[in-house]
Amino acid sequence: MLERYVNYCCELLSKLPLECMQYNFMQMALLATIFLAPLTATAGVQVVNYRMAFFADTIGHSVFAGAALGAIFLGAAGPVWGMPITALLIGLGVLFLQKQGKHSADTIIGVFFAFIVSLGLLLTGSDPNLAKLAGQFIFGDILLVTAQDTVLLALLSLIYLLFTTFSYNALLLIAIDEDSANAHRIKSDFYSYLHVSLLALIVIFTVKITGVLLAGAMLIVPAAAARNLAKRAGSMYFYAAMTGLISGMAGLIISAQDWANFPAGAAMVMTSCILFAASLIWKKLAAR
Amino acid sequence: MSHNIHTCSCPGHTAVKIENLSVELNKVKILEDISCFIPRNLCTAIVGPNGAGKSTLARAILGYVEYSGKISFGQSNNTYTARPPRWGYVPQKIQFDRNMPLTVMEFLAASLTRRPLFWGISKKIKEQINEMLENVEVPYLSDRQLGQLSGGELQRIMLAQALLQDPEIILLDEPAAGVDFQGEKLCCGLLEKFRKARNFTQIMISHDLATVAAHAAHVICINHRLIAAGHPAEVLTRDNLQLAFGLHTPTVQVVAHQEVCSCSKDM
Repeated sequence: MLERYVNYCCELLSKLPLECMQYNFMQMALLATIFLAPLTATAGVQVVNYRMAFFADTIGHSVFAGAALGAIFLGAAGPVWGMPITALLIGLGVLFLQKQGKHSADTIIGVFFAFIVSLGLLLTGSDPNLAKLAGQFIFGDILLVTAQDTVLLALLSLIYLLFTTFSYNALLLIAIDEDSANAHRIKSDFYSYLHVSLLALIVIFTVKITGVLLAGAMLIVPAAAARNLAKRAGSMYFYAAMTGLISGMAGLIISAQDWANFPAGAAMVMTSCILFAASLIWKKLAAR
Repeated sequence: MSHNIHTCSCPGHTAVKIENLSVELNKVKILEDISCFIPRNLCTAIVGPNGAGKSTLARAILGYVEYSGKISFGQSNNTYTARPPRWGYVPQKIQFDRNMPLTVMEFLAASLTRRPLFWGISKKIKEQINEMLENVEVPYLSDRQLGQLSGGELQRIMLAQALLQDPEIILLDEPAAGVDFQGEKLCCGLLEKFRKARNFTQIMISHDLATVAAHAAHVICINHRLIAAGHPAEVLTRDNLQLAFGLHTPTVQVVAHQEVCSCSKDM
């Protein structure tokens, strides 16, 4: 039902004065980028504030085990469920052990990373079909995005926007000092668990589209650039969203040019890295 | 009839009542069978040497650690409740990412309102914060980055944050640590002024006996167990300090506090 609106949006995008926009898969990819890039970039703001880059990477790497487990237990349609469920469990597991405070956050994530990657290799290594299934997530392909993916992406964006709206301040205060946030009636456990759950879903979705290798970059790089540009926590949010959106769209369109013919995901991430470098130079100049 | 604040434990005049409190972390006894109370609307200091369990006691009162025993909070209707009061908390030192773009105004606004910072800060909230910054005597910090503040300035902002909560009890963890003497004197002076104007209870954790002697009306001295509790002059004696701090006992000049229990007004 909602797919109708996706097709309508694609039709609108086809009116853009760009040759590559004549193809349906490019329209779909651009539409997905318009939803995905600001979503990952604004989620990245918290990932950078909480120093969760390694955490996001670990969630991303759970995709192999998740896809394999889904396929083994639920059959052909399994990976769709297996991936987000595994990601959620890993995310919540890491947070739970971190809250126990017996090991450093880094160590816990390191152990989970090792566990989930080796589990993925164990499961996929013995079965060529599973290996093929998992292999597609190393490099995702945004050009293969379906209308259904785009609908899910839009829904996830909406949910995350609502979550950010009511928890942006609380998450910031928890990042500064959890004890005083708790004393001042912010239930930090509630926010942390909800945040990690949503983040796990966002990362897994990003992996599906851009692949494991680039998913982390979709979150971190625009937020890092925003940090250089912004003087306020309020404006950092918009700088991140804009950097993400501009680099995503520009990267995708550049990748489709005849002279370039780049992989789309790599072109998007490379564009945001260039914007990051520019923001660094801007910061140096502004500090003078 | 005047009333002794150091022995009165009726709920109307007691902010916190602690009964047989024990805390064990990783099978190590941090606190053992502590019973004491914290009088309402006065400044109480919790003293003891490093590692005596002062911070753990504070965390137990705040409800952050598991404990055995009972902690209850006195209410104005003369009953005790387990329901925690509205806290204001000033941490000892905070470790945060100092490169995070965040102004003092934004930080304080975030703790006052749910409206996300990226929607801007309302005029009403801005006025409220500027007034508070004026009160803690740092109005010029409003647009500065939180990460660029000095230790003393940051403490003043954390104090402003706690006061903006309109607290019933304000708890300060080592307010003298990491701040120069002048800053500490100013901080304690400000708090005294506020406490009298707004009637809240102040709890101070400190190992700095000079600060305690100068500002506290009631002192609780612990070293895993309760050593003594009461008037500063009775608690900060040579014998008690020897017991708590060991051989190198600092001598303390106690300022005579004339504060009386809040109940003396209505009795």
